[in-house]
Amino acid sequence: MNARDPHERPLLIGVSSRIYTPGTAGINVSGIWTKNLHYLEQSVAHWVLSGHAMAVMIPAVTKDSIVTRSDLDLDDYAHTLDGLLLQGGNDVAPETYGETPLHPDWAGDRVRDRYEIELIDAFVRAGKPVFGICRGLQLLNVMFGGTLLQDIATQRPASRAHRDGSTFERHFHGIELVPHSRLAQLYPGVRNATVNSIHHQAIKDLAPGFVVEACCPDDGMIEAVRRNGPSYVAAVQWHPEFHVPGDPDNFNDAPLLSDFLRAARETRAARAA
Amino acid sequence: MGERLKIGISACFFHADAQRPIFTGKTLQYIEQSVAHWVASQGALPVMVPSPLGDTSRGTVGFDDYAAWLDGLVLMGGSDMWPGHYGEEPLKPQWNGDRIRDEYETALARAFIGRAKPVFGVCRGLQVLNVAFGGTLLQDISLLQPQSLTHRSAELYDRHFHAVEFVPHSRLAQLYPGTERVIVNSVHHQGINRLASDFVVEARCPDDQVIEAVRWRGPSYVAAVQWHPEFHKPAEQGVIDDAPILKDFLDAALTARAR
Repeated sequence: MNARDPHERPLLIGVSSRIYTPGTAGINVSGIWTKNLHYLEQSVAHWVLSGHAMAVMIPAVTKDSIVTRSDLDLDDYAHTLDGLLLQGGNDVAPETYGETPLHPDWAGDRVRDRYEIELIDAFVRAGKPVFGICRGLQLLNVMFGGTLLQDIATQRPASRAHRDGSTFERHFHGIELVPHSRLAQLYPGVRNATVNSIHHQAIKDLAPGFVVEACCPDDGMIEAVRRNGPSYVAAVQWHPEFHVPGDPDNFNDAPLLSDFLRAARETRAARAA
Repeated sequence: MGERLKIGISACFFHADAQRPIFTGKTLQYIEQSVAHWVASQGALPVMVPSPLGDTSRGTVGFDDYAAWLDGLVLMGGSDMWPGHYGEEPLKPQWNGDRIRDEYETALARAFIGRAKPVFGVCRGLQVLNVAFGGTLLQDISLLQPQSLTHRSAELYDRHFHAVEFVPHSRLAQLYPGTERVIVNSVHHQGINRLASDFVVEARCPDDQVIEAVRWRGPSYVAAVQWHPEFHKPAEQGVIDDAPILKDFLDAALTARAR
């Protein structure tokens, strides 16, 4: 791998928005919030910055928008930016993979699904890399034809806990890298690792054309995936941005980020050529 | 106009809060959808510029990298400034403001100004720019200038309006030929006290002379309004059509890019 030139312009990575709609559960801050908000959790931006890339958040266009698609065309973001990072967040709506919610709490966020699916589609068509975190893994799996478990604890009661409301990002479990996968190649000599785990949904049926790159050895839950195909599409079920850098108990996500950014740099170089 | 103009929007903060049921201990950065859509309404591409500062800060990418890449900056509305940034003590604890956001937005604005790229301020953005250039603020208009008009109504929020008058021959007045007075929304309890020395006033509230629009006399575009253009519904009776203001800002961005 080529060493990065510190003088080159940083890569431009778009981060999808979390969307707060007034009157819904969500950020639940004090005060009256009458406006639609688009937000990110700051460490996700800082994680991107750690790889000498600039993070910017891409605003959403929703059904009550005053602007039209022609004003805010997501293809223009795919054209301008070098890669897309999908943040974690709300559940994917079961309707997006042909199911109905088994419980009202699992109705998910269709507005965000539609926005992010359009965004992913734009980046994939432009040949730009897409990396998914947690919900991002689930949405990528759904978008390319897979399905989700609406609630691991209900539908796979024998599974280990994948979310702990009291410890949040300090809840960890082991993962096993699939030998010879791209992910395993990024971590030579590593077979088992420890990651945080903050999700109650997971992949049920893997999307056609996807390969599993890591699993939870306790219950076989899928923890990392990659799409076979001309462009880079990969995702992890954990939250790399919450791992504390330098903490020996935390997975070192830097090689993962470098690989995503390398793909972004290659597509930029290919366009410039 | 070729490739779309790329306009950065500064972030608002929900600081880490142990009382919050979710994202406990996490800092969230957000924009209001309406600001992004207002910027997009004339074909520019808006993005939120996250603050590179904070307890999870990593890497070497900074404000100047954003200023180098983007064509212009919008400072959006939100919380008060910390009075310490203009040499005062908070008169009440609820007016402590958001010192972290002040420092982030001031550094971001300076990076854009340093590259002669346009900066436009909305509400708090006007106040941040005035302070960054050496001015001061009224910590609370109704306390410090009790004869003033009401500039914020908790019940009416963005449906609270008053008149503003353009300063004749100002750039703002030139954008609205034949118009001297318009109606704007008003969602602020602070305002400019001492104007920054290199600023000119372009609009005032005729009832109490509160400053409603300013512009820098320097070599690049720095301008701001005390109202919220993004909340105005186009074609509402008497309410200003903000499109010429946005167009003027985007034209400045285009000119800066062409240099």
